[in-house]
Amino acid sequence: MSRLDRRKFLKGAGLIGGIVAAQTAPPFLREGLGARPIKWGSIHPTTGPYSTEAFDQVEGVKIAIEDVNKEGGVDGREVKLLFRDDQFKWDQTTTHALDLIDNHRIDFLAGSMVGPEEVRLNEFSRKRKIIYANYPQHIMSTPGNAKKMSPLFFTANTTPYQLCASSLTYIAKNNLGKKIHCVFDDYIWPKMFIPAFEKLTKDFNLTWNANSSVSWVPFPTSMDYSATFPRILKEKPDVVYALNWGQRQVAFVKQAREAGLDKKVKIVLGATEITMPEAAGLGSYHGFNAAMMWHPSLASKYPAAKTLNDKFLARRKRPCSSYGMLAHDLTRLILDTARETKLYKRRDHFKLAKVLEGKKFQYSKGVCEIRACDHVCISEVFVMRGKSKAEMKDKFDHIEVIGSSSGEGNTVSCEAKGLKGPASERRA
Amino acid sequence: MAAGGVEFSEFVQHLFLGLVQGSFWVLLALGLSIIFGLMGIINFGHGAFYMLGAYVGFTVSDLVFSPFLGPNAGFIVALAMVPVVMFALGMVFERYVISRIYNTENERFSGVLIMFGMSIFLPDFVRLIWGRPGKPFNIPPMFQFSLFKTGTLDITAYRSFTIITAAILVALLWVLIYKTNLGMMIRAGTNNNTMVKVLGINVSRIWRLTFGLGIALAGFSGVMIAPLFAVDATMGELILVQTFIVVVVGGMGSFIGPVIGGLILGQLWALTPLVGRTQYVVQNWTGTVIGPDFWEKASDILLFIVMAVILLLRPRGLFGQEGAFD
Repeated sequence: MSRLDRRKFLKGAGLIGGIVAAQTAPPFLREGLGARPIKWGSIHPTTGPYSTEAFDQVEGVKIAIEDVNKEGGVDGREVKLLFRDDQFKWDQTTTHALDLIDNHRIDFLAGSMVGPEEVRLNEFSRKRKIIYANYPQHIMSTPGNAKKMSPLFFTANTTPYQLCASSLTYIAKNNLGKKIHCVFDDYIWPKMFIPAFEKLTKDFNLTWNANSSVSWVPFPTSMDYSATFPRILKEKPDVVYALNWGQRQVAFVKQAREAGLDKKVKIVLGATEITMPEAAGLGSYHGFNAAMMWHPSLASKYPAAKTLNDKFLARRKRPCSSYGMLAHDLTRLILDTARETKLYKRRDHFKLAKVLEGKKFQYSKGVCEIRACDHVCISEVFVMRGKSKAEMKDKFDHIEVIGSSSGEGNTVSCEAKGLKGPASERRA
Repeated sequence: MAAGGVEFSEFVQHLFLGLVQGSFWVLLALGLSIIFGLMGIINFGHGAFYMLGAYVGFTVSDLVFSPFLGPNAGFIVALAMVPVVMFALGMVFERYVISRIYNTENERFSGVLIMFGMSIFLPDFVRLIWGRPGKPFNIPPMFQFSLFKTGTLDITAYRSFTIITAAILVALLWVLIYKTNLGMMIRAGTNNNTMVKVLGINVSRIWRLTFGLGIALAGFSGVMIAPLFAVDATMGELILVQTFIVVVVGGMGSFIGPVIGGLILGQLWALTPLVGRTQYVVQNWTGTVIGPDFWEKASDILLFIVMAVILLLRPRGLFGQEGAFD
């Protein structure tokens, strides 16, 4: 057996060391200096209670990225999706964001479903100076949070104020009644509607009081809304405005119908999604009104909405939800703007943000605009009507658009929030 | 008639709603307590089996069509079939999974881990089979009417049906456990299973039947509760918390404990919001008046407070076996 000399040993050790280093090096080093793709790091809770909506978000992002790549990518570079499932656990949101930013050197941070995820990713955006495409409802723009909002935070979604304004405008314009009673789940999202109610009920001359016109339902343990019904029936409101989501909304609708509440008062759901009437059953939302950010039936009005919905039907065998649409539209907006301006590198994000501020865009619904001071997306919010079983054309046709409202009047003004100038100029 | 500013009819409305809620908890807690009482396994998967029962019920009701009973047939067949299917599933699960941990080191702890694993596995399994969106499972037409009115609230047929069904089921279970040979063997096995083995009784068969019975009760609860709630893969997670509170308050391993515990906590849950509507002014330690919204929000928190007090003063629960956790 030949003796292992020093040269052979060093060669062997060097070879093994090189292989190990190549395998364990951070992804951005492994890519070397080749044509580096533009990385879209997107975090969605595809495991957990909102997995249906999260999968729709992922599909919306995929479609947007595929379309951008078909059109030549951004500055000739391919856009690559790095998707992570945070399992609806906030510590996982943080872990994945850190991994995506530090190890994978993503160019854009995106995703999430609910407020706690949004707040965490907003912090990453603020501290790491990276554009964050926020898919859930824009809670960072509420007066209490507005100054903590990252200047690189963008969304195509609405604010609680916009949703509230659309429903109350509908109630007032259609004379559904003067006296409103709210049924709110006891957590942060419904509480964000209180300031909107305080202002808008006065504007529309509606009878409502924050102390006596709200029934709070323990969250998340109690899913039985029936304990609120005796009080509602005793107070005899004209309209019950309910804020709940997912299976809790399905339970509320079933219980309200079982108790005959829907026959005694008009019920308006603060927000809904196509998955909820589907889970409640055929015709279950009949007689209910609700606000929505988007609905697949808009395909008959906007060709881009039809294209998007057709792609969803082909891939997911079900129509596109507003989550899918919002994720798609915002991803396209940022990538299209980056392509037009060639401002996609991390060091250029403040310049890209400046271009996005005040930008008008139209993909799957009417013209939207990103307001410069707080990045609120001024866009249409739709009022829906639940269809009866006989009216339904197919198993997904539960609700239809009966009205919409938009414009800056549906938002809290920049002055009222105490915000001056574009958000991108308020660097952290 | 009014007392403390609350109409009597309003009080009756809340009593009724508390009775319905209590009946749901009794149904679920009995299954949990029976399994613990005999086998010593704290079934963290009980909520998942309850959810599975609702999904099986949805499928059965969706498939069944009867020209005689019309759209009611699906619900009736589901109500009859789901306990049978879940009983069989429970027996198979006990035979091929649970029985493997008997007489091993940390037997009880292994049982907890297996059932906890099921609570994670089953929701994703259900999503895989039935898809991600929730499933529609509504009150059958024969129960969609009001029996009578108390004040402004309708006393509806379906909610009344759940109370009656729970009462009948509790009575049948009592007969099974206290008046039959099988029940006698189950009770004997709970007290001293070695002695029961020595007498030549096949204890493992009794354990299998008992586990199947507990799972059947979970599945039956799923079918009963589903028309008033959402059929969703996560529906078993939150209700399990309340069920455990009922069992801890009533007493682990007891038959009467979960029944009394469920009914007491059901009333506590329903009557608490009423406190805020009385004319009596309640102030906190700073002198601030506590408004009606506090009492609405407190109805759930009070359940936890009651559980904590019971655990401090009487750890085995109101009717629990002494040394159940030894």
